[in-house]
Amino acid sequence: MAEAALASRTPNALREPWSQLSRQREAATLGMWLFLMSEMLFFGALFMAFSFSRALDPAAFAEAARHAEIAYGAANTAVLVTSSLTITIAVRAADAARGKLAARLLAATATLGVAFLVIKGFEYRDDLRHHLFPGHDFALGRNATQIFWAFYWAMTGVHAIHLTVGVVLVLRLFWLVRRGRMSLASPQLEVTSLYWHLVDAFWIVLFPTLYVAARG
Amino acid sequence: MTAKAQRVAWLGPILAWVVLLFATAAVAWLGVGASGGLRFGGALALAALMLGTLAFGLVGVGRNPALLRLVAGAAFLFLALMFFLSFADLMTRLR
Repeated sequence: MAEAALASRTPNALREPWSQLSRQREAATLGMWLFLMSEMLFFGALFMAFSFSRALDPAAFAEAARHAEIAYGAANTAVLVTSSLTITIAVRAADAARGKLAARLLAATATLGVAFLVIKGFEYRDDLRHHLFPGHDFALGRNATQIFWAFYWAMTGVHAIHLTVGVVLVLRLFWLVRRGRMSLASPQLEVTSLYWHLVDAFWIVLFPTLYVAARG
Repeated sequence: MTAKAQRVAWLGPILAWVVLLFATAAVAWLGVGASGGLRFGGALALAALMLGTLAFGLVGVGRNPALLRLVAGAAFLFLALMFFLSFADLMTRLR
C-alpha cells in the first residue's frame, strides 16, 4: 500500500527494468554499497601503509605530526559532520515529500562541503609557507618525517578530490529537486547521501589518526 | 508522515550529530592536552566511536536490509584481514 502511494505521488521515479520502487531503491543502494566497499579498501590500504610506516619510526612520525594544525582539522571535522546531518535530514525530508526543505538542506550540504575545501585551502597555504611539502625545500630534517608529510598530502588530497566530487553531485541534486526535475522518491538522493557519508567517514578516521594519534 | 513522526525521525540524527561534535572536541583536546598512550589510544578509540555513531546514527546501517549489512560487514572484514596480515609481516621482520 505504501508502495502504491509512493508510486502515485512520484510517477517518473521508476526506471527500467524495475517494476517496483522499493526494489529499484534496494538495487541502487546495494550497488552504491559495493562501490563504497571498493573505496574502503582503497583508503584502507592508505591507512595500512601509514600505520606500517609509523610502526617503523614512531619518533619521526611524532615529530612530523606535531607540525599538523589541529585547529584546522577540528574545524573541518565539525563542518563535515554537520554536512552529514544536513544530507541525512534532506533524505528524510524527501521521503516525507517536503521538496523545498530537501532542496534547502542539499544547498546547505554543498555549502558546508565548499567551506571544508576553503578551510583546507588555508591549511595547505600555511603548510606550504612552513615548507612542509616533501622535497629539497622540506623544513624538517629526518627522512621519515618526509614520509609522514607525503602521507598527509596524499591522504588529505585524495579526500579533497572525493569531497569535490561529492559537492558536484549534491549541487546537481539540489538543482534537480529545486526545478522539480527529479522525483523525491528517486534513489539518487539516498545513494548520494551514502557517498557523502563515506567521505565524512574517511575524514573522521583521518583527523584522529594523522593529526592526533601520530603525535604519539 | 505527521509532524510528530518527522520530529522523531530527525531526533536520532541530531543526537548523533551532537555526539560527533563532542567527540571532535575530545579528539582536539587529546591532541593538545594529553600525551603518550592516552593520546594515541584515546584518539583511535574516539575515531571508532565516531565511525559507529556515523554508521548507525546518520547512515542508518541498522535499518538497511540484511544483504547490505553483509556487504558492509565484508568490507570491514577485508580491512581487518589486511591490517592483520601486514602487521604480522612487520612483527616477523622486526625479530
